[in-house]
Amino acid sequence: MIQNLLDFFQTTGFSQLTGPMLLMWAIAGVLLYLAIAKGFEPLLLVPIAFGALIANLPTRGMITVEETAPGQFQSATFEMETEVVSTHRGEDGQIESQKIRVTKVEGGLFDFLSQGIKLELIPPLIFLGVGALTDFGPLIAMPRTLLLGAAAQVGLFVTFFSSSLFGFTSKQAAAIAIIGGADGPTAIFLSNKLAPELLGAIAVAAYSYMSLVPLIQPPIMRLLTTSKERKIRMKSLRKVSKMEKLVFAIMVMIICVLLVPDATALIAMLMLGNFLRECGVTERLVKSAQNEIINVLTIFLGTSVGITMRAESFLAPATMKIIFLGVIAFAISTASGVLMAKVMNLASPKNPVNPLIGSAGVSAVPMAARVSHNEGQKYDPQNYLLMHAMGPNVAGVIGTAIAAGYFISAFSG
Amino acid sequence: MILSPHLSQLPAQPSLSELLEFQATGLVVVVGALALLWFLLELTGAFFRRRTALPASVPVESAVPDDSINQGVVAAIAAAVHVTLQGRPHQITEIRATDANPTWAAEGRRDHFSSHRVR
Repeated sequence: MIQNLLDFFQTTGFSQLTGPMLLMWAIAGVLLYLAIAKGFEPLLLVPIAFGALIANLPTRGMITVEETAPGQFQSATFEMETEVVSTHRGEDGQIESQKIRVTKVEGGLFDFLSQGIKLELIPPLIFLGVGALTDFGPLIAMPRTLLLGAAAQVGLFVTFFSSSLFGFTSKQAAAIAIIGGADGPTAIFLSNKLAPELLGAIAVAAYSYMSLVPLIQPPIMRLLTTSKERKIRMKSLRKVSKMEKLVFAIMVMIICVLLVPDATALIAMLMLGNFLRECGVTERLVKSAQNEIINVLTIFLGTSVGITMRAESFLAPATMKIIFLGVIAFAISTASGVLMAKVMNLASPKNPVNPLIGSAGVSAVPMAARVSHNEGQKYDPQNYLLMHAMGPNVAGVIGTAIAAGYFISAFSG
Repeated sequence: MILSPHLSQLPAQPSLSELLEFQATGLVVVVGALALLWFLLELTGAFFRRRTALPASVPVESAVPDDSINQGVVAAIAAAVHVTLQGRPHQITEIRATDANPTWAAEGRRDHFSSHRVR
């Protein structure tokens, strides 16, 4: 009987538990704590942490893992069995084309869900929802804030440089650099394309820092501005008509796609969502994009990212480097946005911008804008910067998508 | 996008000068794209601002002041009209009581009731 029990034990998951797995449980626990108790980006961190927990359990039928290189594990791989139905040969006897029938497909639940990331479906679809939720009015009313969104991308390129010096390959460095854009779906989109082996670490770093915006940005903002600058009151934004918003969506899509076709999926879906919102005749579609579509996809995106966090690949020195480089990217993006606002004030002293809104050039919509507003109110409680900060905030989303398109153009060939 | 062979062939471990050139090019692309959008938005903004510009207002002197209406009521009506018309250009030329017209009262009641879940 004891032998039978021992044999049974060998069939249970307990016998397959390892130390690194338990360490990953602790990391998942920390992420859950941050999300639930501290309220840090709970919509993403909860599914990511739960996915990480699943990935580090001896599951069966949920995830198929393949070792692509020694020590490198890749999930979301399913196996297909096929049979040749017909073959067409050329005159020289070489096979020109074959008709194949799929007879069997094997894979776990998350293998199939993760195809949404591998095939680059989920991040653009989340952008559809983001577009449906975003009001570009403040940006249209004050288009010069596009420069603040552009300046905040400096952090990306400086981090690309630093990551290369840290020993990452060019593709990996580009994927890490995009953390500075503080745009989760874009970070996932790019890292899946250029460095899928780092997807888990990059996603966790990106979302963690996005949630830590209220802690990371204010000290940098205070360091780079004077008390007088923080009290600058900006002119009220003009009202933007519906037609102007519709023209904006179409114009931005055309310009961005012409400039960086590799960012088409992100930009086109962002602007489609926004067009649906502003046209006023597709209320049901907008509601779906703002709620059901983005919510369902967020669950799948989070858990699919989480299951890439297997102990074997996540507990590596590279992860610590990514976490470090991510915060550098974030800090530089914040600082360059604030400094650009100061430069703009030198160029246009009669119509100054409050430099605090420069930090909102990192995407992190709308948290970065809220941080600018709250910081401004600490020095002048009657100063309402929120709508002014939304301009650079949404400009940052467009800027990060263009930067991602640039990286893809350069490396995906 | 078809980049120049030089840019598309950035090696896995590039040299310092290659890195600097690559990131400078990237910055120019991003800043250039957003600057172009800024320029186009200024153009379209100027067009739409001119299109929605208010017509020349009637001089105040021409309006007939009516002391029987409280100025606070006039301000409240003007604000309500502004909100209802969602900021579209308008001019209030006359304010007068409508005899026994229950439309606004009925609309107010409907709005009030529709804000509750009727059990």
